[in-house]
Amino acid sequence: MLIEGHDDQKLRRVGARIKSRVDQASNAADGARGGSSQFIPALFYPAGNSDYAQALTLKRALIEKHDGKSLEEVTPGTELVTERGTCYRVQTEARVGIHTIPPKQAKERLLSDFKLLPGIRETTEHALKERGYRSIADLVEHDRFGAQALHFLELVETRNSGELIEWVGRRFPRSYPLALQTSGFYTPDQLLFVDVESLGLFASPIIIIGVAAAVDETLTVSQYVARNVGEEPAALAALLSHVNASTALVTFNGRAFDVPFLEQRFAYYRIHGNLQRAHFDMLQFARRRWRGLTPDFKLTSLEKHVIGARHSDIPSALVPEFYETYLRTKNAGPLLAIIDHNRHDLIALAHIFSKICEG
Amino acid sequence: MFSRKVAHTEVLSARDPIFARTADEIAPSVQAYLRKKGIRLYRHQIEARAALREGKDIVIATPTASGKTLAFNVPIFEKLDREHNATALYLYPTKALSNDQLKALQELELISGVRVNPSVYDGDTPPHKRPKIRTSARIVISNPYELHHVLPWHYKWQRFLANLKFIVIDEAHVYRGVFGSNVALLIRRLQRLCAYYGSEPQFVISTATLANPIEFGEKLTARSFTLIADDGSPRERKYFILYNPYADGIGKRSAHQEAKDLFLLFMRNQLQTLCFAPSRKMAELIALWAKNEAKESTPLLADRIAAYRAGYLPSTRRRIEERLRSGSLAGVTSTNALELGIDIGGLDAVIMAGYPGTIISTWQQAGRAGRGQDESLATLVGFHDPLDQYFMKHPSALFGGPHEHAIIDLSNEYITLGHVLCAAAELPLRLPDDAAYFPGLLSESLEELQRQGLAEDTSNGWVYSGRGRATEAVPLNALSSQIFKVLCEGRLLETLDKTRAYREAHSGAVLLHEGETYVVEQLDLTNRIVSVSKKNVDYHTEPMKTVDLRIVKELEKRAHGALVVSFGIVEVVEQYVGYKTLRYDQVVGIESLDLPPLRFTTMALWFMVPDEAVTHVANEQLDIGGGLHGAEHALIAMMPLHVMCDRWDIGGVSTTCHPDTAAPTIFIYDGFEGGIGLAEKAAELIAEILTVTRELVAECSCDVGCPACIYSPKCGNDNKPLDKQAAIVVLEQLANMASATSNR
Repeated sequence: MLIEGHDDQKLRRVGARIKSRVDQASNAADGARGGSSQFIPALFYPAGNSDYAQALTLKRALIEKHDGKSLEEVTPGTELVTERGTCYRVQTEARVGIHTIPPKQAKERLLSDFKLLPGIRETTEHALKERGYRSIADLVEHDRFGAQALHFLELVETRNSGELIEWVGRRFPRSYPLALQTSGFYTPDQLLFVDVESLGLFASPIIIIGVAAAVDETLTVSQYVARNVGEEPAALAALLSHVNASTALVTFNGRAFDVPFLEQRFAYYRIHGNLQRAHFDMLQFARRRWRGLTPDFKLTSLEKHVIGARHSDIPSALVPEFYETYLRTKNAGPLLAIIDHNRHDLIALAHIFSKICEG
Repeated sequence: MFSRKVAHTEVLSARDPIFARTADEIAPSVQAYLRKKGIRLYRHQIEARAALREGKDIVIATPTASGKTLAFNVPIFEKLDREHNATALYLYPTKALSNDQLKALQELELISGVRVNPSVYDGDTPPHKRPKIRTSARIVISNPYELHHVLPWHYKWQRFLANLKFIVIDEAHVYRGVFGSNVALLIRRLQRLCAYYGSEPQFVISTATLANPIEFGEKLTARSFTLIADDGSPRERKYFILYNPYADGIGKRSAHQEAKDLFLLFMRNQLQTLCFAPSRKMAELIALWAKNEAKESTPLLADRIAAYRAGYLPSTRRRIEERLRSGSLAGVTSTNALELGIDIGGLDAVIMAGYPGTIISTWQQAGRAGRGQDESLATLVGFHDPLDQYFMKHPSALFGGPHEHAIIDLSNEYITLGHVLCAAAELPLRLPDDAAYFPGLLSESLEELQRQGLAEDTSNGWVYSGRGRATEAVPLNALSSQIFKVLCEGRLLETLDKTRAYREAHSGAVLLHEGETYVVEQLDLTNRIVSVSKKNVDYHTEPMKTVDLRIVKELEKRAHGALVVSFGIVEVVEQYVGYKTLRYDQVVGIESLDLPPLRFTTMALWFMVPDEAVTHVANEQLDIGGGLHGAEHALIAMMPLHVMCDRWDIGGVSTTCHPDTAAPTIFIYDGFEGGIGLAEKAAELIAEILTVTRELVAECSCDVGCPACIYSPKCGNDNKPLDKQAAIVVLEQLANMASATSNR
């Protein structure tokens, strides 16, 4: 007979223990990423790093401002009904002219770099060019390199950017500018800028999927917001409505993060979506282009140093905390801040892409 | 000089091989392999093949070196030959075993011509090789730790999982107790994903001899098993000697010294010998002593002796294994690292310096002796503690006694909740469909996870909604994650976990590595670095520690009849206060240490022993300390069957007066940081446990105690003091109180 304590506390104890372990694991990972989290009091932040304090002030202000208001009231959007349930769509426009690489230039550049063919290094390339070979197209009859040259030429002629990026990636570092040349085979409206906000590391839920596409000088930003964890599949399904056979993806660190994360979530919800396609990850190109010019290669830093200042914003690492506050308080303020953050990231990404393509 | 100390010789008789015919032809590809290797299959191998072909799940429990691996490799290769997409997963408890198995599978692939691309996929697999393995390997060899972290990425393994025909769990007896329960739930998660991708793999469980192989297999995998235990392999005669250094009642030399003497004796008689030692340090010391002595008399022998243990670089270990196989090493001392099936060939002799702690391990280690055509020798050197001495005096406890039960618990909330969390992060969980994977606990687990904000009930099922990686929050085993590096002039010598660093690498400690002595100059706790310098010293060191248990918070108090049992959070504090320096067994100096205590927080149950029992014990002129200690050991021995764990999962402390209770008290605690529900469950069942424990000890036919009652294989105080009669009095009193009419 229990004379002190409560019988129903056992599961509660077990639950509390697992909760603290999950928090520990997520903090350790945040620490490793150099991020921050709600479990580290602002006190421990190095002097001069006021981001955290600023963000908390922002959060309080947002909560006050939007007290008692729903997301639908504070940001115009529509409830989107998909075959995988509903989510909230926020659509906005921004003026961003996207420079792309002219397809003719892309083709010329690709075909003039003989080092793309296996077995050819600088000396061989030099020798071949001395002998009058101008383009990989000229090499198709060559005894030794003909077969590869023909294969490469076919990829260029059919504008198979996906394969070409892989090809360049096998011969050169991922950041090699030639890989970006293949983006010239796409018209601006075929380029889909993608940025994902999530609750945490891999295998945790996605909160917002933001996509942007440009027509003329107008960038249309569509954000699919999960107002609760149950709305995530709808956001995933909505993303797929922007992807067709001719779509290429543009991301910032999407090779390592956004795309595998999305694929994992597709599999989780048994949604058939294929993101294996031409993908231009601007982080790698930005690194090569602006090495030494910015303190780090966060999107916000690039924006500040390359494009111009960014308005007051929440650090990426605080996105989960803001979302959890939103879930807990039902106050739309913190979620609004994440939506703004995501939109700014997409616009910044479009600027960076354009800037690098401009040359 | 030696023979006087032989307490017992058991002759395990020779036996001819028993072959059998297959009902049908073995596939030509696999036959080519068998022919080339000159192998004819034994009866148990044929039985295993037949059962697998009929679609059954099998547990193979034949002895070490009976050809267990071939028993499942043959039918699996045949299947993979017939079905070109079929895949198989092999799970091994260690990376070393995985690599060993890889070689065997590669050879089978090469000779049979069945393309299976066997690949090891574990923490050592370089990232650039991983995608290829996921998309093309048909046999993947891994371990439970890796599998645990791979499952959330199941979509990348779609091809492999959808075609999965076999899951082989080798050395499965390792997965018992809390670790086993974790692995069992990990297997449930894997099965759920297999079902999702449309496969239902057969299971092959290969294990050391257990008391309950079939039940164990069923708990581990939720399948019904056919037992393959009728060994058809041939055996030469084996002599199993119980060697008692303390036969004269005194023992002039320590058991370690005696083990070293036997080791040398065997090697000088041209017997290739493997000597198992109870610790890394002892493995090193016995090798070192043997080398030093051989240098004087038989210098050529000295170079043919080596030590083997965890902590060595993999390449070093491979080299020693290879030299053992080729016969260029005459003798190796080892920790239990060589107990599991690493291929080192058969040896002429095995020495066990001290009882290995379980009957299972004793037979596994003894099984290393025997190479087919010659007689072999296994020797257990008894230590001074009562447990070893009991075996010396009662050989039948070893040779006729039952093997341990391998226990798995699927109803432990602590363990289940963690795996429900992981499963929810792998695929949404649905009720009631998925309840079968987590019997009886799924819905309440999910509700609790929801309360903690870790799971949410959506129209797509229950979804993980936490931020961190679920798998990171769920350890499979009580392994320390704090790793210390041992550096000698900046070069990495080896790595140690935190507890080991405190115990073996405090400043001044002599650290032995591959037969060389290193002296620790500094133990840097902040950066986790042990700086050592190589010095030839003729002494070794032994730490001295105190262990205290402190009650942090009492969470529950339960009345069982008249007995009050408490349950709560405790802290076990180990303080390394100093160390001894020893030359051989002689203490030559004592130094003090200034190390912060090691703190370990866990959950415990405790109860006070009433004054009546103490008075009774005193009146009978018995020892109350020995009585409490004996009662504690016996309770721990009986707990596993009631709370479903392994006895190595629990610890205990008993004291005639504990500062927090001001009374004679017995504590029993979980051996896992934060607690894992064992003491908690025992607190509820204490009346039953006390009743059976009292019966056990009172009815035990031994005089002063034995391994079946109050001797513990893991006692930190060498089973001293112990007083069986006093223990009976204490248990009697407690059991009577607990079963006194409860006022319910």
